[in-house]
Amino acid sequence: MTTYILRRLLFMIPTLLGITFLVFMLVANAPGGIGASLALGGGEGADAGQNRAIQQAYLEDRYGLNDPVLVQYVRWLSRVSPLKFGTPMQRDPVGEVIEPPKSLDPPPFFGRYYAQGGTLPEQVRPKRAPEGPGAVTPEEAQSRVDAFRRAQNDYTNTRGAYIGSVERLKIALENYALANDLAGPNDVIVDSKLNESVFRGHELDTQSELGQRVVATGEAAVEALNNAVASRERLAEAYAQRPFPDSIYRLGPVPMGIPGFVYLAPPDLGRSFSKSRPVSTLIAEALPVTLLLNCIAFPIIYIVAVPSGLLAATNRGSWFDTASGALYVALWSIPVVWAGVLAVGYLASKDVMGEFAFPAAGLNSSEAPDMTYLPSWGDDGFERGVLFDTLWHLCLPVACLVYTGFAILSKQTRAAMLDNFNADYVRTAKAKGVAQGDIVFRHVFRNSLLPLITMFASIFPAMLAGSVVVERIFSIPGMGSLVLGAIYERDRDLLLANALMIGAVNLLALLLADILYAFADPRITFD
Amino acid sequence: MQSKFGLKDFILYVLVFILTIVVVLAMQQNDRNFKKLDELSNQNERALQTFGQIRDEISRLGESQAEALSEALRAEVQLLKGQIDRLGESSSGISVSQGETIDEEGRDLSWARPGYPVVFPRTYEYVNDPAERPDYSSGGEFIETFEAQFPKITPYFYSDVYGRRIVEESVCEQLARFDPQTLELVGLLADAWQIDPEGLWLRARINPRARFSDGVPVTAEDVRWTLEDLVFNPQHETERFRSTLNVIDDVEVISERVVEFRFTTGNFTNVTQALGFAIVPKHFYEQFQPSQLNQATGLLMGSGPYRLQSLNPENQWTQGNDLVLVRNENYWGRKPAITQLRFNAITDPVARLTTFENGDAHMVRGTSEQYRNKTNDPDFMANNRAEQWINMRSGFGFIAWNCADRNGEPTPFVDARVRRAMTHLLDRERILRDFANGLGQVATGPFPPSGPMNNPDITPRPYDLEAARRLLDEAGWVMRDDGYRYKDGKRFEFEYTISQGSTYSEKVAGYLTAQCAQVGIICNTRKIDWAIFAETLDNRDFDAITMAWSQSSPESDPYQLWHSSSIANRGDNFAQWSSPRADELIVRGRQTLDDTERMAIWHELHEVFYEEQPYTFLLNTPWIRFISRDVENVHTYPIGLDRNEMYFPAPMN
Repeated sequence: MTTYILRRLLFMIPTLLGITFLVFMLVANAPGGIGASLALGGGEGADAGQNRAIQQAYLEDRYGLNDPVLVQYVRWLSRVSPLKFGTPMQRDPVGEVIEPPKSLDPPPFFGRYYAQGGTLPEQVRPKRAPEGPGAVTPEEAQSRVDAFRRAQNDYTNTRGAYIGSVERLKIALENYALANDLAGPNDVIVDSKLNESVFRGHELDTQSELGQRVVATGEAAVEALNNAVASRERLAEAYAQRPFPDSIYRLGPVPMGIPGFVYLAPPDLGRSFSKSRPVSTLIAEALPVTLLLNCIAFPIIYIVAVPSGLLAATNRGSWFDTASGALYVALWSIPVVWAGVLAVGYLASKDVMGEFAFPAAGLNSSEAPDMTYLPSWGDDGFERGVLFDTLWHLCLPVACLVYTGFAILSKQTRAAMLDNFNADYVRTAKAKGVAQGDIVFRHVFRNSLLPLITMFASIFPAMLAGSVVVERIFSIPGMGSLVLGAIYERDRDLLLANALMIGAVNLLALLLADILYAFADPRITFD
Repeated sequence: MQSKFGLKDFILYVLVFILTIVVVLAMQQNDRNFKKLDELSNQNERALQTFGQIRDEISRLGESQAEALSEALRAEVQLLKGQIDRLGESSSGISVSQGETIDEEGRDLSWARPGYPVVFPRTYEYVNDPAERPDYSSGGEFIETFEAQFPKITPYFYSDVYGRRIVEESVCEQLARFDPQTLELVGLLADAWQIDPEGLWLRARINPRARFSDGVPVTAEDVRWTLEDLVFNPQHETERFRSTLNVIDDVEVISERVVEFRFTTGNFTNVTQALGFAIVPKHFYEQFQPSQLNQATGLLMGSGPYRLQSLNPENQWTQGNDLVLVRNENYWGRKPAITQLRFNAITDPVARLTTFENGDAHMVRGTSEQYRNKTNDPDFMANNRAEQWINMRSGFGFIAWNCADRNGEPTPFVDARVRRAMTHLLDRERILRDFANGLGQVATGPFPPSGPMNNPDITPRPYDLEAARRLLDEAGWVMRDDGYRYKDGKRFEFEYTISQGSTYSEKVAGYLTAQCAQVGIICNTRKIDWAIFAETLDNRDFDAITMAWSQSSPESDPYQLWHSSSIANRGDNFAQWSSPRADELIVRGRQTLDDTERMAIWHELHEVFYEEQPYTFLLNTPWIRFISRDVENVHTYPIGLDRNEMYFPAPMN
């Protein structure tokens, strides 16, 4: 059994890799690509054409969107994986992972159209000081942090200036190419990348005005590059002083793993770039809401559907069987969108329901912060308290989540029970004179559990995924709304974290279902 | 014998279960009590601190009483002067400093650059003073429900219109603001300023009474810090604001209360940029690391009439919760009547309106359909107001014609006559009536119709099929026997790009197709996802595309959208429209600092738009708001609404 579980757990890793890779490629190849939302937030500037390109370049640089898709995926993997290789990163008190300074790519056509014979400045590899900040006085540690922040500020500035100058160079090259009919208007810069093949074999006409502009912007870019490289060196030095503790798991004082080779570190789910907040906090905010909703809804479905399926099976053909079957199927066929809107329009309207109108949106009324937690009877009469206020708000959303679920589960139960009722062993038991109750519960019901367990495996992950429709109608800030927003905005990190989470939970639920099979049916073993 | 699970056991289990739940809930209750207690003691402490500050200030006042008093008096005198000015004819309040430190009206000029005019603007005031109403009373909570969740309310880090409304209208203040009615700049944190006639610098003096909500005076250093260390810090994710504020080259602190901005070019927008950004307290924001600010959701503090209840960075407001602002009882200006504002979001339109009708919100935005239905509902109108009006922030919808090449091939709309014909094809009055429920007005150009840039003499091009046919014939698109128009052997057929999921756009597209068919043009509709709109615009990969623009100030710079230099390099002139006359007007207009002269130029530019029709301007779409009759003194202005004026009337006996 243990080996079986272990094997299944190990198999989960490649499956999850496959899932996230698929999602990543889907996002990357969707129209607009990763971070399409970033491009939409344009500003109203003076020389907007250029500014917008530069602004976009900054953003792409910040989130690493200008790298090839595969590189982005591998980088995401190494951030998410708890098992990491190489030198540990550092982590600041806010919890942000501090990476060594990124290197700078050379400007396009360096040494060819400008700065002929020049050499690119050498970029240092960040080193590491031997001791961490624990070994120094608090004042010194603080001064290291300050020095690092200053250097970081400076490098962000110079790097930004360099990226801006490269962008200007690209624009100059594009204008030059268009003026000299080297390519069409959409072929020089494709997806904000310069298509260098346009210039293949072309000698720059340094006499023309646009050619001189290319040379001038190119030289400006080289100067900006030199500045940035010098600033990067200072930052690398400040980083090597280890201003922050290493991002690594520790057993007491002992780091887990061999820093420099392989080690265990807290996984980092990255940041949502539509909300610029850590993905983990966003999920931590949304997940409890969805769980609360579903932890009420799913037991209700089971408590209603399983017994009524059972009853329908034992009294097959009775009025209850027909009526419950018809009712559940009728409910099942009502679309949630429609029912939700009707519920809001009528059940939540004071015109219709008077004082007993259900709340139309949200999880708490505006008075909730001033209420006690439990209901109380004070001077102003009954006060429902936060607990009941929340439950009151959950009534309509839970009803909308629940009503479609009865049909499938009760029909499944009924069918499984009926199968077993016709089995030989039941006839034998009846012939033996076993009490009807014992037959139903101890024999038939137990043997009908298998399909219910299968159902559970498919329902459980849905508890985390949230219901997009219900959450939208009732303005509940749960996982459904979070994921939907992420899809609209092509929010890479948020989507991947969700895919990872839902994928993992799905696989775990399948595993759990398989283990439960063994408990429900002794004939099944995994050894 | 096997023990059976009997009824007694069941009851026992149930009882144990219930007991556990009760204990857990009681613990929660207790916990909550402690938290409340904690909050109360925190508030208490803050009150004590404020008290201490006031005592300190009083004792300091004792030391330099004369000075402080004279300063305060002078400020008061100035205020009175300003009011007298307004009563009299000369409302401008401009005087030229010639090196003397006081002008003929006794106003201090020692801070100003000698030889340049100083503007003493009138201060921001209520247009309709609520205190003059007989049933005026202070208090109450105003609830506004938005249509979408707002993720952040940290100044300069927020990203949507809701963040702007919370931050810039209620909590933070600018040096100057637009008057709600007249749209002229009036002083808010600044009580005087000087503008370089060349437009290269601007010097502003801060009102000595201005205080942040914790009682600390607003200084020139706060202004400098906001711009240089908050907005321009590359580690802060404030690009949205950096790109517009980067016209400001440098900020210099001249003295504690005087600050000077320098600009890269002498553009008329410099003044509104420099005076119009929200100023935040350095002493508060300084304590945070860039990563903390980038991730912050609710670090919001300013000098405005409302403030956040709790500024604890460990326990910030987060998305999905109601946002509560309380009145800043130490507000340095005149306090508004409403003591608490609550903002929340309901995404579903039906739920939003139901909540509003239930009395759980005082203001919501409505759709034009809701407006039409509800204004016919006497029960609804008895308790609520339905307002719709065009203001400086309401936008306009348009169809942009690609005036140059698409993928190397010229579109039919290269010819201005064809574009004019397209405008004549559309009965925009009918679009207004049938598709927009009659709310709004037919647009004539890109400028807000209530603003000064709009040329009031221009009337919309009429719906005229004959004129359209004539213009198309003139342009060489001749009708052949098969019922279609041809030019140089090419049939007139174009693609009309709309965004997916907008029923209004779909209706307009259907109408356009039908109208085109009447004159022998084939119009094919292409629906694209909003996420690839930007890409489509950047690549100019469309024949005609429909969108809407909205504006944020009464006067905007037309350069970015209309100048021919914004065509290249994926600039915002995606219609690729170039007109030498418009270019000349735009460049001249930007450099003209005199208001009347510049407006004349814009009016001329408006005529060029009318002639050339780079866009077919469809409708100016109004703001639609439902506002409960529980609040009084609700007025619609060209700037929008002024919530600070509203109040909950006292019950009349």
